[in-house]
Amino acid sequence: MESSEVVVIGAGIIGTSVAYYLAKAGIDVTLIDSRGPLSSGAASQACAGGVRHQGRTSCEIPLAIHAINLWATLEEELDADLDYRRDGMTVVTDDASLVPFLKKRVAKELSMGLDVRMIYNAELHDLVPGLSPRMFAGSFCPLDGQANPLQTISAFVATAGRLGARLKWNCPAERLVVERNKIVAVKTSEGDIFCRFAILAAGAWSGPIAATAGLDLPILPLGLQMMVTAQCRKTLDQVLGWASYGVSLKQSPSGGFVIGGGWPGWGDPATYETRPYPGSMAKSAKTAFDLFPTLGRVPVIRTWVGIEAFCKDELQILSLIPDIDGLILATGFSGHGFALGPGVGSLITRYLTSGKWPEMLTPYDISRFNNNHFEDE
Amino acid sequence: MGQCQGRTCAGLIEIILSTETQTPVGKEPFKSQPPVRVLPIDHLAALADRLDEPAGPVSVTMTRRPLKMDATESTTSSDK
Repeated sequence: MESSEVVVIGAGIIGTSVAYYLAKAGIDVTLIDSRGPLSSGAASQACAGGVRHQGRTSCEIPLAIHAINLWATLEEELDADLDYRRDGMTVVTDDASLVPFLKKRVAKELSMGLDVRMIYNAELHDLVPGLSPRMFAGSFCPLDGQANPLQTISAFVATAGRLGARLKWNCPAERLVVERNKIVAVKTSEGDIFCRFAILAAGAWSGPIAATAGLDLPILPLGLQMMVTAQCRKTLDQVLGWASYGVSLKQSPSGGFVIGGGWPGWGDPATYETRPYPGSMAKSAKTAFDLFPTLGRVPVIRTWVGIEAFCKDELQILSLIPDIDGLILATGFSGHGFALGPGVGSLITRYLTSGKWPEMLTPYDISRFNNNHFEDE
Repeated sequence: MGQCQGRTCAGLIEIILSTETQTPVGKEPFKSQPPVRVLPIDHLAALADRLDEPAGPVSVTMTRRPLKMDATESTTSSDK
C-alpha cells in the first residue's frame, strides 16, 4: 500500500514548485503526472516565461511581489541556470487615449510598492532600441524580467527529487477518494496513494479530476499559441508588451525571439492534441512586427500550442474546500501563472506547516464564483 | 534549430549519431521536418488581414480591459 503525506497532481510550474517547497520543508510528498513534466500540450510547455509585477489585477500584486522576491535567489537555491534576467518590461502604446489608463495603473502599482514609472518619447526609445517609432509612451518596471520555463520546471523536479519527493510519471490521477468529507487517497492508474492532503495543480485537466469529488470547477480549457524565431543578433533585453494588442515579445539568451500574447490555438485536453491556427500565427506576427519592426526579416522556426485553464475572471483558484478536508486547489491560472509559481509553492507549504491559510491567497478562494462579485470588474 | 531549419544540420546530426552509436547512417530512423522554405515574420504578418479567425487574443484582459476596465486595473495580463 502506497502512502504519502501529500500528493500533488500535475507537474507543471505550479505542481513542481509546490513539490519542491514541500520537500524542502521535509514534508513527505509525491508528485504525479499523467505523462510527465514539460509534456507537449500543457500550459507550462507553451509558456513564454514572463516574470513580471506590472499589469496585474490589484489583488494579485502582493502575490507577485512575494513570488518575484523568491525568483531573485531561485537559481542559487536550485543550483541551476534558469535563464532568469531582470532586464525590465515595458508596456508601450501609440494610442493617446490609453495613456491615462496606463498612468492610473502605474500610480496604483506605485502605491502598492512596485518600482514602476511612465516613460515617454526619447527616453522610451533610448530604453528600447528598435521599438517602432510610432510608440511614444509606456510603463516601465525595471524589476520585471523573464526566465526559461523548461529549465525552471526541470530544476524544480530535479531538486524536489533530490530532497526526497517521489516522482511518478505516466501516472494519471483517476479519482479523488473522499471519505467522511476528507481526502483519504488519490486513485491513480497504478493504484491508490493514501494521503492526508491532495493538491490539484493539473491545469486544464483539473476539471474532470475535481468532478470525481463532486466539484464543478469554473475553468475553461483554452489553447494558447506561441511562436519563436531563428536566432539572431541580440537587440532586445526587455520584455515588451503593447497596451492595445495581444503581444508579449522577448528575446532569449540564445537570440531567438519568443512571441506570445494570448493568441488562441486549437487544443483538446482529452487527447492532448494541439494545432496552431494560421490566423493566430499571422496576427501575432503582425502585432510583433508592428511593435518591433527590426523583426521583419527574421524567420519563424516554430509555433506551438499549450492548453491553459482559464477562469471567468482570469484569476487563479487557490483554495481550500470547506466540505473536503485535505483538498487544495491550485489551478486556473489563466495564462499568467509562471511568474507566480514559486510564490504559490512557498505559500501552500506555509499552510501545510502552520495550519493557517495565508492571507495572500484569500483573493483566489473558489467561493468568489458563488456570488459573481467579479462580474463588473 | 538554427537558420538552416534542419535542412543542413539534420544530415550532420545523423552522421554524429551514427559515429557515436557505431550504427550505419540510415539504419536507425531519423526524422527531421524542415520547412518548405524559410518564412520571415513580415511575410507571415502580411497574411494577417486575409485570415478572419481568430478575431483576437483569448485573454479578456488583453483585449477588453484597456478600454472598459476600471482605470486602476491592468492593461495586460497574459505571459503566453
